[in-house]
Amino acid sequence: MTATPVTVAGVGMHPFGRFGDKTAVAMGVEALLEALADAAVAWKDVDALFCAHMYAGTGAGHKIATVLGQTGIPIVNVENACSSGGAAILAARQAIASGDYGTVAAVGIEKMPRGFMDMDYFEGWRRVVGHAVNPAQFAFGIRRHMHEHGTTERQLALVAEKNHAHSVHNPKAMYRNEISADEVLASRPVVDPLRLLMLCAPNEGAAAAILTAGAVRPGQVQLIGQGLRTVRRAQAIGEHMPTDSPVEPDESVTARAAQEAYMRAGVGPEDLDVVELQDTDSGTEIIATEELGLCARGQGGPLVESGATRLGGRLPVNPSGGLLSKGEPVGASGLGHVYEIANQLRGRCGPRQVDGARTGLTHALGAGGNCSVLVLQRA
Amino acid sequence: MSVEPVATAALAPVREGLFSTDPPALTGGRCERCGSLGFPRREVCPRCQHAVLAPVALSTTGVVHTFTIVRIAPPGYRGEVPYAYGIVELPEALRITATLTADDLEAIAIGDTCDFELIELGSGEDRVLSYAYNVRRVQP
Repeated sequence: MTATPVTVAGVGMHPFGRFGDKTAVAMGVEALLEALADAAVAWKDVDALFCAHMYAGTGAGHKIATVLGQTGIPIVNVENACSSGGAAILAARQAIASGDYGTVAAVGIEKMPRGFMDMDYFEGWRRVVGHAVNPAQFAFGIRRHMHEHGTTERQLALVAEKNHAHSVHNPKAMYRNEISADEVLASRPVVDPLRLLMLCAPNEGAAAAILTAGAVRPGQVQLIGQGLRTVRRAQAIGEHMPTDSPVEPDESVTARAAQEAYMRAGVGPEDLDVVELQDTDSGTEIIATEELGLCARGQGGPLVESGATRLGGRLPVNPSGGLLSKGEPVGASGLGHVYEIANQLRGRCGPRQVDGARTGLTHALGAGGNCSVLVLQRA
Repeated sequence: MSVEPVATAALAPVREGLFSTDPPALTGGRCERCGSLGFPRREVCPRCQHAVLAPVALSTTGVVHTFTIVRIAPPGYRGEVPYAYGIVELPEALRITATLTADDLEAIAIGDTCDFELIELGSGEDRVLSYAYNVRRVQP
């Protein structure tokens, strides 16, 4: 348990999609204003701001403060690729838990080019030889999973079908139409065995959360645990995109971050009512359901096939429509997960509401081999 | 086919120190203190942080651990699509990423045996020498 209880007092989100000339900062301002209104906190009472982003350039959070009004607070910009939001939450949570600050804002913003992500994470030669291709790691992972566990292409398609069915009820998602498994299987292959409709699109958007210290009121959402981990060298496949790894036993970064989050929260996967996880692609959702302990190893394919992770099922996964429907603005996506879970736990999600949800989990994975897992609970 | 094996080593390597051309093999680094092995050869041992790693030729035969076929050219890539890219497990308990070549990319499977080869990427002045593991044709 964290020493000082941390409350998620309010959340806000600018829709994820494509918004022409609108800047990432402008989207961040909107998300932050919504979160402040939700928390009934005035900007002048915010003690610190943490801004997550990957492409927004110098002083992104400072530019947000320029719009909202420069109150002189500490502003820290955080870059941890797709897991940037989790890193901003880590900093915000610890800023409160340490007693340094009472009210802290975390915002994630992004405006990305189309197509494969072009990251200077890679050494130059790997780009030249075609090894600097982020989704190849997803393909490596699920290809191996299919080999070891018999996971099928149809199960991969069912993940996309499920998440798109959820997105119909989310006005902030980029794609809001139902897509059948057959349509997914008919889309063109991009990085075998993953097809176009099994991969999320990079895009634009913002999301924000206001965290506060002090006693939680009934009905409020508490951040009860977080795990933030990076990969170890023996993990052969993942967003660290290694040139090499020793053949040694290891646990994935998701499994290790989840263990940390569950330990700190004092809950286990059996206590969860709703999950938002990193479906950058269908394969990652199947593997993450296992690594987060939502089902046994190798059972992620049968789990989605059973309908357990659909709205109305035993444990809905990605009721927002997931990144497959929302798209992934990398700096904003982690806080987008928090937005959905905080609203689910407060019963505010309308037709995509998970009935009676009290405990939820978010999961994000990012380049460099980052993983952040958050456990939230309604008091 | 997106890549062609090359018989000679007249071209510049895509990066110095990745592989030797005679004999053709990847060049790893073995830590002179703890003995751990990695590819490419690094300045600092990732296991014990020792700063002396000896160059060592890696096995020229391995097994496909996993792979994909990339069908859209990623940023900066000089070759043609589609191409196969995977992780090869070498007998020295090291997994490395490599381009995979094969007569039929669609026939590549996990567990296939593959052999090191030098390949040429790009055209004209952009031509560079790179490396791959060639997946042996499956015997009937």
